[in-house]
Amino acid sequence: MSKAQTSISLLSEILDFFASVKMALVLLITLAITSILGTILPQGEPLAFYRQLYTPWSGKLIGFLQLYDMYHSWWFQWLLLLLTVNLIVCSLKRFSSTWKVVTASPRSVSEHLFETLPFNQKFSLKEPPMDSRVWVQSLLGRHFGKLTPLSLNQGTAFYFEKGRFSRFGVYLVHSSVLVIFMGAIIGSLYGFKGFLEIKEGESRDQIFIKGPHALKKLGFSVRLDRFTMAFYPNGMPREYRSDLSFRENGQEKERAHLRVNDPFTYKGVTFYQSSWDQFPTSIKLSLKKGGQESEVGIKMEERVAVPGTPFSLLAVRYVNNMANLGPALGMILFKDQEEVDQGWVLADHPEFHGNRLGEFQLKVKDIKTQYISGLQVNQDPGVWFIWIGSSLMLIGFVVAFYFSHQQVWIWIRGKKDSSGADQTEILIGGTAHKNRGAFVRKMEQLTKKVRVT
Amino acid sequence: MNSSLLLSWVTFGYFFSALFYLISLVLKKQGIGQVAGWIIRIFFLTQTGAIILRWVESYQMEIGHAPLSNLYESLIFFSWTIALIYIWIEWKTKSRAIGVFATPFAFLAMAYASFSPNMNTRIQPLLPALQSNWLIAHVITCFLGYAAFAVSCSLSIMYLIKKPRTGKKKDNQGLLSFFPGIPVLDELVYQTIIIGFLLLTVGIATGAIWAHSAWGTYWSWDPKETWSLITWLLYAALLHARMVKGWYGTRIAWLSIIGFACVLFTYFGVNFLLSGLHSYGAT
Repeated sequence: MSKAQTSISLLSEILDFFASVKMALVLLITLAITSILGTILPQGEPLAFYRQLYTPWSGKLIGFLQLYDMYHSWWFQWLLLLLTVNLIVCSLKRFSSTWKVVTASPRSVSEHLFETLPFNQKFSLKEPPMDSRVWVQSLLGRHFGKLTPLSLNQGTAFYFEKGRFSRFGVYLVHSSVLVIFMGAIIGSLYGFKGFLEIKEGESRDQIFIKGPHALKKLGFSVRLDRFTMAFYPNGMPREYRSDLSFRENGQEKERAHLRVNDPFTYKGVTFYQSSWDQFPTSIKLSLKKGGQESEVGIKMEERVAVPGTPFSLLAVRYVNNMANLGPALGMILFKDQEEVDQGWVLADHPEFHGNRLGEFQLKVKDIKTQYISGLQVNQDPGVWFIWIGSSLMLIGFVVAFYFSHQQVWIWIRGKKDSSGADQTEILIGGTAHKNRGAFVRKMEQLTKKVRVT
Repeated sequence: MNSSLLLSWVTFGYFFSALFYLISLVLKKQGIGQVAGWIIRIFFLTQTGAIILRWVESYQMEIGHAPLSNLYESLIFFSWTIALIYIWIEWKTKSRAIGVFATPFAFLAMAYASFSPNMNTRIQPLLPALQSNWLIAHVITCFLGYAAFAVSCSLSIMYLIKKPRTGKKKDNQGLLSFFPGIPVLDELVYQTIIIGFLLLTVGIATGAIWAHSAWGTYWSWDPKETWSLITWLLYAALLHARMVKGWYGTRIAWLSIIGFACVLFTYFGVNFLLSGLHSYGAT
């Protein structure tokens, strides 16, 4: 063999491998094992996080293999693509032979046919059946339905068949996987996943989305009219609800009550209740220094002077429930223009020793808050492919697992026994394309009656 | 009479059932096996009653929901599904030897639910994320699937014990003669995997529908989702190996045991070792 021929045969061997069930097994197991990685390694963190957590070298590896977003990494996508190609090629390769079997007319009876069938038995009867068609029908018809007479020169022959369609089950399953993949691709190409934080009384007409174009215009505006929470008697949350109204060109078009598990779709964009927060609108503080006490009213992120002093205060953060100690304010104290101190002030614990900035002892007298509702805002035109694909897959499983293509041939012919007397010989044979053991056992049961007659 | 009391009886009931199956096999006494069979049936019914009662009790507390909402309730349901599938298999095969390997799983699930010190056994109201009709469909199909895989794993263990000791000249197999035959065991391993695989698929699909209405995405690579997919991929590989490559017996039995290990990790490991959206399953 020449070098060129060797390399061609090697190439075709490689191609054959990629189109083989062995490859499918390798891919399924590889996908399973690699998927474990993404459940152990935190996902979606910035690269610096991994460099800090692990050695610089493994940080580089994580960057190269995109393990920070493993399920969308180049190599994982390649594995999925390979699986898709393998699935299509394997299915096409097998489909032509399946098609031949499904469209073929039943094979005519011969000694050879019966020898090749997984179930085949011969019976000898002294008397031929009165009406062979009725006899065969009563013997097997209950299990195989209508029989077809086969034409031949010697004796009579019949043919039973059922479950021919079941040979298509596996193709239904495989195409359902493709439909699901298609849905996922359509979703990622033509859909978006966004997020919206919206205060009570506020309107928004654009959302934040993941990806390079961080802001997206909705084409309409959504207003949070009211956010409410309800609790069970034991204090556990029972309901989060956002009352929304949708507006276009200044005109209200529709209203909706959004709850967890109860999303609302407006113009193809679906809104989901996702989270909530509180935001202080006005805060009343008392400040004590030496024996002097003064009161100031402040707003978030607005610097307010402490009357009669060179000091001023700025509230930069608000946490709804800090370490289970209730609401806390993150504050900075300035003297003239310079920062002199910062710290957390606990609103519900006025005696907390940390409620102190510089020489001031701070006490929160009152906080008026406003709710913020966090909404997931998505559009996914591929989702119906997922539901249709899943349904097809289940139907395909039932067909592929619980139905099999079963064929039975019966040949009744005259024969002389050893003493030369006339006899009837009956040959019964059959095959099933799945679960042959059970089929053979069933046939043995059914043909027991023949010996009795 | 309340559901907790009934459930503690069930724990002991399943223990004695497993014990009697074992004694019956060791002493080769069919009668004791019959008693074990009656015990598991009686306590299966008791457990059914207890689950219904717990459901009723939650309505009396005016927070009515199906008892499928936390780890404790899921363990009880898991144990119930194992008992259900085992009883069905015993009825189909008339073999009580399988009970020695299958009923301990039903007992262990109950024992874990009853005796673990950190277990929250109270009936609690449903958090907003769990208030969905898909909860029942999702949990029932997943756990029926898990139970089918558990029974398949027991059958695989039996296969691996029996296989190397069959075909020897002396037909003195002792205890092993009470096991179903090698072809029957192999067929049962396969059949239970098919049932589990179908139900796991329905479980993942109903979970996806639910996730889509609760979080807006049908799939978010949350650790529990991912591990259920890993389990699914492994059993998919097993089915291809069997249906197309003609794998049989020992290799399938080992794969079935590895598959069940994945199931256990999906169920427990993810709750305790990894964090994610399914955190309510951990308490």
